[in-house]
Amino acid sequence: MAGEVGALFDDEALGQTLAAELDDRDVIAVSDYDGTLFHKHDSDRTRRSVAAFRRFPARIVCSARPVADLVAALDDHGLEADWIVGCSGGVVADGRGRVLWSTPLDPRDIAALEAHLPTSKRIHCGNEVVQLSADADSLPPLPGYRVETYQGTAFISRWEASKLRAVHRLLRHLDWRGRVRAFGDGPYDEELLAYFDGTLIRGASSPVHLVRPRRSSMHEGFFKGYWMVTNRCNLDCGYCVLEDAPDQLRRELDLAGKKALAAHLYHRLGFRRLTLSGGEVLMIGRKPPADFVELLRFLKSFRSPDPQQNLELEIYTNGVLLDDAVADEMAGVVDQVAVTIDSADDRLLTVLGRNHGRSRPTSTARSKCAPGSPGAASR
Amino acid sequence: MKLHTVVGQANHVRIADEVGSILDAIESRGGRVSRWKFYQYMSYDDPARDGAHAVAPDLYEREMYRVGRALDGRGVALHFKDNEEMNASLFNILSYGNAQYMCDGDSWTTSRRTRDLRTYDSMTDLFSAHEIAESTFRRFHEVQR
Repeated sequence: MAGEVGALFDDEALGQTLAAELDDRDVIAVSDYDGTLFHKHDSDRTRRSVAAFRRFPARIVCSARPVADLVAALDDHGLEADWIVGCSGGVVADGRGRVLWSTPLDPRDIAALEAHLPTSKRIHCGNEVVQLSADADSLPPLPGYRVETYQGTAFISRWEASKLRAVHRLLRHLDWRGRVRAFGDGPYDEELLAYFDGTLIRGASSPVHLVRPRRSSMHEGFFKGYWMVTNRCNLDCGYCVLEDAPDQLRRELDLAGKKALAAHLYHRLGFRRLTLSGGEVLMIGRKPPADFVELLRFLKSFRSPDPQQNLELEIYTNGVLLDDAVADEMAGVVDQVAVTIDSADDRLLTVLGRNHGRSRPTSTARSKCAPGSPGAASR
Repeated sequence: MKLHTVVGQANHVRIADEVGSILDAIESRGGRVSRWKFYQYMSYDDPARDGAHAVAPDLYEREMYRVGRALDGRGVALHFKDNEEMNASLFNILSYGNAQYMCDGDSWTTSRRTRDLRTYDSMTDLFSAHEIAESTFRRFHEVQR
């Protein structure tokens, strides 16, 4: 991680960027394509976006699409780019699609990935394999790789293959010393926009809407939220302020109220990712974890293969009550399980209060730390 | 899975020396850690509790740098969440159905509360009813689909 940051945010690059701004030097524009320049359901907006982008004297277009696909799409709109970054940074080409370099997957990685994902497909650049595509729903965690998901399909690349890294290398290749303007619309543009202090193009909040009508939640964007579903907890951590006096627990929403709140967050307020926490999330109700399991079953109804409709769930738990039956209920509903571990030293955990309560979580959690089990440490 | 660590007085000096072995232990049992988030202990305006757990920003930064070095190359995405980010991003949906948030200058005891979230028809309604900075909220809580 530190190496990653150091490779990109070095003094020379940042110094050049600052000098270019101060000197008001020439501008090169870097733009994502789909959702930024090209708007599938709004040809008028596409026309205006392309016209605005064309005003920049030098232009780089980035996309998850393969380079050849992008060249054809740009031709359709009469837009010439000077350079093209395709396959989400896996391939860099000139404006006519002639490849300058690629960042292929290592053959050993391809073999390992294909062993885990036998139905995956290879995406080539010449003789090199730059990405594998696979069904996103059945994708296991792939630490060390870059994974981008579009319409249910996951594209797996080398970690080093990103739009930001590709543009960074291209600018060095060009010895570019001017200003950089970056535009994008999606989560996979964020690091590019963050690095160049770029512009996030939004759907309904775009500047082209001079008078913004009252919007329904579907047009306000989608949100993620941290929901402390209960104050009950089975540990007694010294650094935690827990409102678990009897009168405070009585004020908690009951299970029906929690379900109603979840539905409201989803339907009216546009929440598409919820992190369920506590207290200890499995401690909901009088007979844990029965109410938690029922809440999970309810939340399962908000799962969808459509990314715009799907409710992602993350669970923060101390793992004490996490057994195989609960883990089975989580399968297919919970996207990520997070557990807190503050030290490897059992004595320190005791001092912190993490070994207090009704169980010793470190030993309990150790027993859960097995393949296929979502829990693995302590809280 | 994801790991969380609350970094305070008791563990800040040693945590960088422990993260590697913690990860080893989990991986040796078949667990896979994709992300690890380190929280700087957050003040609750409680002198006794803060006195026991608070860690100064410069010490937190120094030790998190060491943590980053210790986990470099292990394939785990790291997030170091300091007090500044915690306060700016704070929007806790509480067990009572309302939400807790902060405005500039607020601390834990002066943090604000919304009404029951079920009483708002939209996020626009929520933003207009409270001093929640929409741009800041979107920066931390909006998801792109």
